[in-house]
Amino acid sequence: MSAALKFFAGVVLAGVLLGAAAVLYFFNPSKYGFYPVCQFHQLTGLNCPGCGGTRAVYQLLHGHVLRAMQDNALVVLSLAALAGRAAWFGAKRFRRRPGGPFLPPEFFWPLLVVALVFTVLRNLPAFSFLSP
Amino acid sequence: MSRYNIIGADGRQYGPVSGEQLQQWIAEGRANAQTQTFAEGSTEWKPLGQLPEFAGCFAPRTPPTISPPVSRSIRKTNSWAMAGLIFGLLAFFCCCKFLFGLLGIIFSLVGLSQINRQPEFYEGRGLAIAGLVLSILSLLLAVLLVLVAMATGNFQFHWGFHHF
Repeated sequence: MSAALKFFAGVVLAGVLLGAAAVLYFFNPSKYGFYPVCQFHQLTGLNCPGCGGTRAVYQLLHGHVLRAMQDNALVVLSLAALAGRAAWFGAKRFRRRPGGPFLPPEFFWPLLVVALVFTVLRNLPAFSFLSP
Repeated sequence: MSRYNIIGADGRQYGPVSGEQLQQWIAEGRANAQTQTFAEGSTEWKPLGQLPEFAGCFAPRTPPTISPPVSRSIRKTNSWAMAGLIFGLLAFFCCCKFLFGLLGIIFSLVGLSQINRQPEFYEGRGLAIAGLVLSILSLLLAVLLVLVAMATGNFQFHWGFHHF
């Protein structure tokens, strides 16, 4: 992929994300129903690891971190981790130090385990605070 | 003692010199196996490497082992590519088309870029591409299903949330 194509793709992606964030900012997912539904929740009544994620981002956009955590702590913490990694990665690259890939593949399996544990826990009555 | 003439790299003839002197020149790198040599008493010019008395000078040294950092047989399958395929399959054949489709696209792209950057460390390009295709199709399908639902009036607004 040429550098120009990568740049263009990056711009398009940034635009789409900004657009989505703008829509989310003005249209509360709890009040407007045009957002995609969770099929897992519809079929089983249980919460998937992403349930509450859209609402969580809405709360984050409005500055309510605690309410966002109550809606979906996994999404909030993942976003925080991504932001932290981006800062670290950017600093390393800026100083021209080797830093490896942005998302090291060895992190995928632990991440999956955390997501699964989160899913199980949030559907248990004792941990209902993990669900919106 | 035999004496030898050689054609140097500059095209000029050198010698006659003793065998010992020529061995010295080989060691210094001023003559090599291709150097045209005329041995005293011989009838023609020959490459130095073909003269039996100098065969020992050009015995192949075991080349320094410059092994690649990771040999081909132990390339790891990139985890993100694998994840992309799994989410693509789940999205397409099972459920959560929107979420899994999105994740599938992201993971497949991440895996693909990592594999392309370091192909000596990672494999799984096929997995990543398959995951990407399935995920994109799933997203398109999800959008299509939503549009159909809206058109037929089956789309539920204010779903689920307020009923806790």
